[in-house]
Amino acid sequence: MLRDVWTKTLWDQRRALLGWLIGFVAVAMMYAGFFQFAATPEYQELIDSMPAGLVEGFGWDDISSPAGYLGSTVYGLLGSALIAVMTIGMGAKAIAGSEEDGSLEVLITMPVTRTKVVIDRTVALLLAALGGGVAVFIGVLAVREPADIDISIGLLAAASLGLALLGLLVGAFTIMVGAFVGKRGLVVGAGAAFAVLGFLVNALAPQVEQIAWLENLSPFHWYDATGTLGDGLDWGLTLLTVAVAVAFVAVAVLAFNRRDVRGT
Amino acid sequence: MAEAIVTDKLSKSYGKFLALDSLDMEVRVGEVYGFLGPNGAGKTTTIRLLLDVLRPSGGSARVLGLDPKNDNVELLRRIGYLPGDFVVDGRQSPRQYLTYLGNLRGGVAALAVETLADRLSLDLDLQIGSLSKGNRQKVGLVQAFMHEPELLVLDEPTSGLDPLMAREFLALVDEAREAGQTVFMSSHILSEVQHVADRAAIIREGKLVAVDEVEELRARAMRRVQVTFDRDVPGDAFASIDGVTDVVVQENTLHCRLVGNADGLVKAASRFTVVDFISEEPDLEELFFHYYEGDDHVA
Ligand SMILES: Nc1ncnc2c1ncn2[C@@H]1O[C@H](COP(=O)(O)OP(=O)(O)OP(=O)(O)O)[C@@H](O)[C@H]1O
Ligand SMILES: [Mg+2]
Repeated sequence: MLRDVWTKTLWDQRRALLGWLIGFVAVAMMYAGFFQFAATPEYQELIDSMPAGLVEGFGWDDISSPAGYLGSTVYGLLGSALIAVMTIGMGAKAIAGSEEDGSLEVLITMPVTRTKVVIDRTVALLLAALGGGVAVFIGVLAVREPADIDISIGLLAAASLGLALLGLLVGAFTIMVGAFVGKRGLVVGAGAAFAVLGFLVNALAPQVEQIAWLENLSPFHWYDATGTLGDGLDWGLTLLTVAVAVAFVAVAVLAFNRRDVRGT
Repeated sequence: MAEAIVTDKLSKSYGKFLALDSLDMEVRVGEVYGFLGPNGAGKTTTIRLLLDVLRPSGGSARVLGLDPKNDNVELLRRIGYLPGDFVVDGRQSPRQYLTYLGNLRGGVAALAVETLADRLSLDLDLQIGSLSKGNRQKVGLVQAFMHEPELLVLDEPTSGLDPLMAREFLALVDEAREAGQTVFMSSHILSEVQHVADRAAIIREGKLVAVDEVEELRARAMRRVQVTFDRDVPGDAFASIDGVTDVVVQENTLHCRLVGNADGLVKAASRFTVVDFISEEPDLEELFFHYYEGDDHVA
């Protein structure tokens, strides 16, 4: 664990990460377990009584099918928000946070390139995001049968991978901002803005005809958990997600190599 | 390669503020070089430029014959660096942290770490977060020395160390020189480096104001002296002594400034019964002031 930058990064955050993993499992079990109550006429009535825009925005229109339910809860707003909070936190720490607390100076004056620092910290973030995806997968899997969730294990795994990659994308964006500015608070804000804006565009744009096309720009649209739980991953959009994340990291490497590192 | 560090009109501005102004400096291989200056003089800025933490706004530097930016990894392998604000995550022990840094350097003998920690009385197994400031500074010192680098760049290495540990540190520097290593260290005080450094530079407001053998600087340094006698003394008794200026006599106490040899002053004082004799090194600001305005004071 003390061998390399990415292992050390994970090791340093092991307690927080363990907390996140437990949280993911718990949330997934709780919400997925609740499905048997959601798939009732009473619940559908409740949803029907809500404003249509809201229901559509949150993806609750298909709440009584297992894919619709999971896609709008565990893999929907809740899951995406949780994984985004985790990866924004890690992404902000990757450069800006360590720079602000002063510990980055020692690291970049070791015989490792700045490029390696950015990439290793991204790898740590990727593994954490994948860990989050696996935790959600395990949580849902644990209650799949008792809660009558009729979705194959493969599709659950696909949606979990999609969730992890969404986390990676948001985290990579956050790292990129940190590579430009070494202010942690600012970087967290930028990461959160990116995630919220992406979510809102995906939720609201389709409801206004003239701007409906905007949804194609949102990573949340690419992610589309309900679709994945029904038909499996859209490989094109999955690849797009990964490619954009890689592009963010590439820009981060360039930016971080060019600038001063400010100490405390 | 006769120079470990060469800078050529090295400059750095932060926005409009020029923190380092055309620094020309040469540090020879094998010497211990003191880099002195008051707060805000530009010492840390210079050092960060040498390590490619910061990028120059103008001029250039070569360190161990290499370019800090383009040959970064190669250079950093051969340097031991103690930052001015040495910060580490407190939730680990020095042993874990030093092992990690050693691994980043491609492995460092555990024995080297043990030996250094022993000499500095650093417990390697406590949490760093629970260590006092001075003990945390020792962690920084160990990581700078542990791989026996060709060049040690130490930014205020004694900050936080008690006098005993500061002495042990100076012994380490001495041994490093004996072993052929070059040491570049910053400080606020001349007396701190005078016993180990061969040469020292003085920097103020981003400009180099003096470079000299430490002995020379020392000889020209001005001290504040206060002598207390057992009874009132006449003011004119100390009026025209070599190197003594700003004489003020208040009843039984003499205050003055002394540059160079203290012999004249001591002999003049010995005509009375001396109760106490305090000679204080001034802060650097005052030292430079005299270094420049110096000549008529020395006379
Ligand atoms: N990141 C920064 N942004 C703006 N100004 C800075 C920055 N870093 C340093 N300065 C300014 O540059 C000048 C030189 O600072 P530097 O840290 O190099 O001084 P120093 O000689 O190391 O001082 P000290 O003895 O207090 O450590 C100071 O006036 C400082 O305020
Ligand atoms: Mg400093």
